[in-house]
Amino acid sequence: MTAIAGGIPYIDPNVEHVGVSKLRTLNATNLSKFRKTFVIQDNDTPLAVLLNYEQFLIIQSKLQSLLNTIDLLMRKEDAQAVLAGLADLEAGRARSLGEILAEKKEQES
Amino acid sequence: MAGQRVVLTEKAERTLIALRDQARARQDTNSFPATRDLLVELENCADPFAPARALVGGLSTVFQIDNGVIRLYYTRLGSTVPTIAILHITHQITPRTAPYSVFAQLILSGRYDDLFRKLGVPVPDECQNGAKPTLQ
Repeated sequence: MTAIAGGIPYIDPNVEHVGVSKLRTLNATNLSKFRKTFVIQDNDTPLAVLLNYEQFLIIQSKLQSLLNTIDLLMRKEDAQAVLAGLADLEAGRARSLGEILAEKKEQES
Repeated sequence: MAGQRVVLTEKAERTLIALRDQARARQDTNSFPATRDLLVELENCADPFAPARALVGGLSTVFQIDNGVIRLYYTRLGSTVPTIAILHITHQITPRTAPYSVFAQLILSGRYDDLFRKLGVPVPDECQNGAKPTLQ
């Protein structure tokens, strides 16, 4: 449970706090239909989190996107180059790869 | 959606030609083939605009792909027949195997030293041997 602005508690209905014994009830059939997130606890101590494989991939992808963005913003030269690329595109300064390579080939022949 | 159209912005075109010329002059024989291969891979990519390739926030329309040597930043041009527009080509890439190195770089940049000091966390240049750690 997380408090949101204004002190109103937020309860995520997809997150369930369950005991370790819940693991014994899981099998291939119900895991394949599993859409919730279980916080597995021993008494009141959280030990592990169980979530759907696709959900994990989404989280991983979001984390990777965030890291990639930070990585770009940390390298000012590259960040400026990306923005310059966007400005080029907006101004119509772009050519197809085939056209560029064909032109170079022609110049050299 | 394979065999897509790829266009290069003026800046990206200049980089591509420079890499090609360097390869011809044998100053850097690795980067141009790596860029060419990556462009071909992107052309034939099933889903070049997959959410995992996108950046976030104000840069969410920008995507990236790398092959360990070269990284391409690109965006989508047009909606009915999507075209891949290459914005920037770079060699300076962070290894994919070490995503948290990005956070390490952030810390080592010194940008947050004051914050760390306020929190009582020793900053890297205050290590006992006095040498500032560097990333490999």
